[in-house]
Parts: sequence; C-alpha cells; structure tokens
Amino acid sequence: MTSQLGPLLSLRWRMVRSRRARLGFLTLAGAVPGLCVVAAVAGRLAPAGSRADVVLLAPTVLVSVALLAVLAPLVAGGGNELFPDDHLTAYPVTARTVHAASLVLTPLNLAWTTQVVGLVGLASYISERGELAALPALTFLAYAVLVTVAGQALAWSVVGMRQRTSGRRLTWAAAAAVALAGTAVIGTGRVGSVLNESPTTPVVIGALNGSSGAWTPWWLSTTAALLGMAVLAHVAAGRACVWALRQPREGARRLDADSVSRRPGRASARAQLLATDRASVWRSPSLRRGLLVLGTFPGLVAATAGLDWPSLVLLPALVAAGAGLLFGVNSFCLDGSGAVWLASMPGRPGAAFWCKTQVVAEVCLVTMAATVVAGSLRAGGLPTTGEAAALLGCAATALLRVVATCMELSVERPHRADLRGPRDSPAPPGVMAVYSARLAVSTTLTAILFSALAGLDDWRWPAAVALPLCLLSLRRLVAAAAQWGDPAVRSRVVAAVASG
Amino acid sequence: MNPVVDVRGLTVAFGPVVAVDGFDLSIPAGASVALVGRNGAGKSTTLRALACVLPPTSGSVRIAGVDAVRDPSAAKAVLGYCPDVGGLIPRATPWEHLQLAARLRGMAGGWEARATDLLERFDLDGAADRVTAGFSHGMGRRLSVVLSAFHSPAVLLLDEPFDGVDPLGVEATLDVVRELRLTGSAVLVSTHLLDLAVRACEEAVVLRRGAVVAAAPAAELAGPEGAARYRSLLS
Repeated sequence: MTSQLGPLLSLRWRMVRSRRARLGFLTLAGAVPGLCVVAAVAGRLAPAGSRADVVLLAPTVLVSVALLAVLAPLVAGGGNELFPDDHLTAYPVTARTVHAASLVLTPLNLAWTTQVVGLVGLASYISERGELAALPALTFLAYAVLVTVAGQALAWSVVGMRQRTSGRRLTWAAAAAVALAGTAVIGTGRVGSVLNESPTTPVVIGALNGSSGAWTPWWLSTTAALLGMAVLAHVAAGRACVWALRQPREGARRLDADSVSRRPGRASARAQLLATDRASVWRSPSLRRGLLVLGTFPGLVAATAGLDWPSLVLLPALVAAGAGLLFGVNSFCLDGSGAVWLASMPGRPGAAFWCKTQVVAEVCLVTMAATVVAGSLRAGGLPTTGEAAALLGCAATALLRVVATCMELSVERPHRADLRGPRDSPAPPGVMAVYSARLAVSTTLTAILFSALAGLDDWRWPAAVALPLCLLSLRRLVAAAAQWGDPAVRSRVVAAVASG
Repeated sequence: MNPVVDVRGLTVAFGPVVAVDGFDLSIPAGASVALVGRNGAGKSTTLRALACVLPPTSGSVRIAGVDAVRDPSAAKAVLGYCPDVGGLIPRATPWEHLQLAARLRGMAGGWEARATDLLERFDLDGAADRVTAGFSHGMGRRLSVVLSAFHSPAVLLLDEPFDGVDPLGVEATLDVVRELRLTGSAVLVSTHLLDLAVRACEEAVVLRRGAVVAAAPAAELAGPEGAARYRSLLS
C-alpha cells in the first residue's frame, strides 16, 4: 500500500454527496462479513450426507474462483480505478498506488464477493466438526487472496503487452490457444480428468487437515505457502502495473488517429441516431472487450459444465445483468459532451431515449443469445416445451427488467464517463457496486423462479408468470421515458454527462 | 421590423443561485451582438437557455417569431448552437456528426456539398473521418462552429467559438459570421476575448452576475479606452 492511497480513498468517499448512497454503500460493505458468518453457520447446520461428494467437487470450485479472479481484472483492463485517468494527470500518482487502489476495490466486484462468501460456506460444510472447524475457511481465504493478486499481476502484464501491436497479436494468439485447448478438452470428453489433475486438490487436502486435528504441518504449510505466494504475486503485480503504465499507448493513439470507413447516411433520423449509438459502443475499448467476454465466457462455461436445460435457464438473466452494467446504467454518457449539441437539435426528445433503450436491449440480447446457443451445444438434446417456455420467459423478463432499471438509472442518476480508456466504467466504483448488487439480486431471483418453473414442464406456467412481470417492467420503462420528457430533467442529465 | 431574437425578462435559477437575472435582448435580422463578461457572469447559461437546452425559470424567448419556451423543437429548427465546452460525441467522426445533423434537421439532399465546403474552410477535411475523441481543443471548437452554421440558421448562437482556436480558425469563424449576417441571420457571440468580440459584432452587451449592466456599439469597447471602460463595467 502506498501513502497516496489513503488521501485518494478519502477524497473518493467525500465525493459521494448523497447520504442515501453513502448509507447504501456502508450497508453493502457491512453485509459481506455478516453473509460470511451466515454462510459458515449454514454450512455447519446443513445435513452432512453429501459431504464426501462436495469434498470431491471442492477443487473444481477453487478452479472457478481462480478463473473469475483472472478474468475480472482482465476485463477491467488491469483492475477497477478509483478515479478516471484524466482526473489525476495533474498529480504525481504512482503506478503502485493505481495497483493498490485496484486491489482495495476488488470487493466491490459482486461476483468476487459472492464467491468468497461461497468459499466460507463450502469450507464450513466440508470441515470436520470440532474446535478447529474454522481453519479450512482460513486456507480458502488465503487461496482467494492469492488468486486475486495473481489475477491482477496477469492482467497488468496483458495490459502492458497490449499497448503494442506485437503484444496485441500475442495476446490474441494466446486467447485463441486457450479457446482451442478448451474446445479440445470438451470435445474429447476429458473435462473430468483434466479437473482431477487440478493443482487446487492439495489446497483442499491441506485445508481439511486443519479441521481434522492434523493442522501441523499440512494445514500450516499449505496456508503459509498460499500466503507466501500471495505476497510474491503482490510484488509481481506491482511491478507489472508500473511496467504496463509506462508503455506507450499505441493502441489508444491509433484508435484516435486512424480514420474510420465512411458509411452512407441512414434513411431516417432515428436510424442515424441508432447508428451513432452503436458506433459509440463498439468504438469504446472497454465496452468492446466487455461485450466479447460476456458473449463468449458464460456460454463457454455452460458448455464446459454440460449444463442441462433447467440449469441453462439461469444464465441469460445473469448475462443480461452484466450487459446492463457495461454502459446501460448510464446510457446517456455515450454522447459525452455531444449531449449538449444533441439537445439543441430539433425533433422529439423521446427519440434519443428510445434509441438508447434499443441499444441497451440489443447488447443484452446479443450476449444472452450467444450464451444460450453455446450452452445448448452440450445441454443434452432439444428442450421440452416447458423448458423452452421457461427459457424464453426468463430471457424476456430479465431483458425488460434490466433495460427498465438501466434507463431509470440513466435518467435519475447520470454521471460523466468517457468510456475511452480500457479501465473506464460508466459510474464511480462504489456506485457500480450498488448498481451491480441491485441488478444481480433482481435477475438472480428471476432466474431461480423460471428455473423452478422449467421443472413443471408446462409452457403455460412460465408464460403466465412472465407476462405480468414483463408488463410491470414496460410500465417502469414508460415512466422513465416520461421523466426524460421533462425539459428540466433532460437538461440535468445533459449537464451531468457533458460536464468536465 | 420584428427582431429575430427577442428575449424578455429571462431568468434562470438553480435553486437559490440565480445565474441569469431578468435578461432582455433584441437582435434584428442581419445583426450581430457580442455577449461579454467575466467568468461566471451567466453568458453560457444565457446561451443554453436561448438554444432550448436549458428551460428558463421565467421570461419569454422568441426565436424567428417562435415561442421557444412553448415550442422548443420549432425554435431549434431555425437556430444553430455552438456549446461552450466540447459539444461533440466522442466516438463519432465529423462526417458522422454532419450526417446526423442533416437527418435530425431534415435537410434535403445536397447537404454533402455544404458540409465538404465548411470542413475545407475550417481545415477539417483531412480529419473528417477521425473520431473526435482524438481532436485537439481547437479542432473541436472549429467543428462545433461548423455544426452550428451547417444549416445556415436564422439565429446563430456561438459560445466561446474562439477559445483555443488558431488564427486561421478565427478567420474562418469570422467569415461564417459575416456570411450568415449577409443572408439575414442574427448572430449572438459569447466570448471573454474582447478584441474578437469587437471584430465579430456590431453591438455588445456586458453581463455581470446574470444581469445586463451595459449595452453599446461594440466599437466603443475597442482600443485601450474601450478596454478600460469594459474593465470598469466588470467590477
């Protein structure tokens, strides 16, 4: 940690003006330790009948935690940022501070926090009952710290490499090799045997030794080794960050300096607005990368795991929430300072609102469809009518919920966001944490509901549940459009996204 | 003759802060007025309200005979506005901005010739297909002026059009102002650069704390004596 981090965190906190937002953030932060305790108690109280099976699955769970720990900072271009780059250019903020800030902000990633809570629950369930029952949880937490820091080290290295053309080619080649290897493993049906060779197995064995009383030397040496490697990874990540931020940003410069091919004008004003919004999404490095990851990774995981149709029903809703978080929660930021110019244009103000709505919906739909198509390859044949209805109902309900929430937030809580750099996000990190919690809770509940309905194998149940939920979301969307129709609200949104 | 821009008692308040306080202005066809004053005097807020980007708290604004408060879309159709900061969609190119403006304004075919001509005059033809996020401040200002003048509006509102612009860009902007005035457009230029305000406009209005403190022929603010008079009006 560096001496600059404290003042920067303090400034960030002071910049959260709304008391409600502060309260929400503190509640969220306070809920995490509480959830860990709940998970530990639940693990202890759960019937131990499946304990042996769960122990066998534990190494795979640890692999999935590592995958997320690597993927999250890769998608975020090295990690979350406390302030956008251009806010700090006048100050001598060191690269090590940038890295430390990314680490400190890691718990704001809801998926990461959920996994940590899950690890505590898992450790509690598989550990022997007794005085030393908490020791496996400590090992798993040390493991979470290690993979998180190692993920950052890898992400910063990739960020540094991708600043040059040769580095970008190399990373694409590496990604292609990983994808090919994954496809080969799935295609040859060797997923189980590969997972059996996972290096996480010794971690689980070491952790279990803690609760069984043999806590020295196995538990101690395993946990100490994990923490030691975490320290080494932290040093490596700091150096990788320093190196990455020193590289000339060829990629960003090329994007700004290169000409794009001129396309013919669209037939109508609405079509031209849509084309402009779509280009704004696709030409943003952070959005493009986010779209690619959301469009491929969940589907790949579903295909690898060989999820059946009732389980596959869960995925589109979760993917839609992720897609909404790319930019949808602050969709007018796509216009940047051009929002002021657009506001001086004639025509119906609603056109801008509905174009943004459509682009947010398109992004959600594309990523949801890609996930379902990839997952369906190993879902064991065609779905039954009831499963298909549950999938469609879940997708429609989640899509409308996410889009309605995004457009409400876009109108009610606009922020300035360039989305120009690879680490830019549509809102400040704390706000994004609250938004992701809100979207995740809503879509997870929707997904669980429709997954349960898929088991009834009657298309009428999903249809009957989806219809009122969709109408409710449409009503919220229309209410947000009506808010946008108010010139005072519109001018506030425009001033916020165009400021700076 | 009816004024093209007719503002009466324009007031814009943000909660307890009154940014524009009972502003009156009348600009006939073919005339140009400079809006000058210190930072925070309310110049940009006034222009945003006239451009129908910001709803006024009270007062009336008529643009080319249209009540801009009641029918902002009709008023927007006849005005061109260059905002004070940025005013450009970051990941769109100048040509895409012009395509969008042509569609939103319902311009007939043939707008491409006018667009190409303006881009050449403002030395932006070589950058017509680059995203504006990579533009320098001056290039961005020049493109904003191009976009505001593109449809030969009846009312041209320019907010700090000369800020950070090189001499060739300044000349191109002055040419566009002259050209539009000759065709009967009314021009309002907000700037803190007094010399350029005097060159661009025939009348000047001095704004202080949101209210007009003086209105005079722009020539009276020229030279050292004019500058001294201007300074006395600011404090």
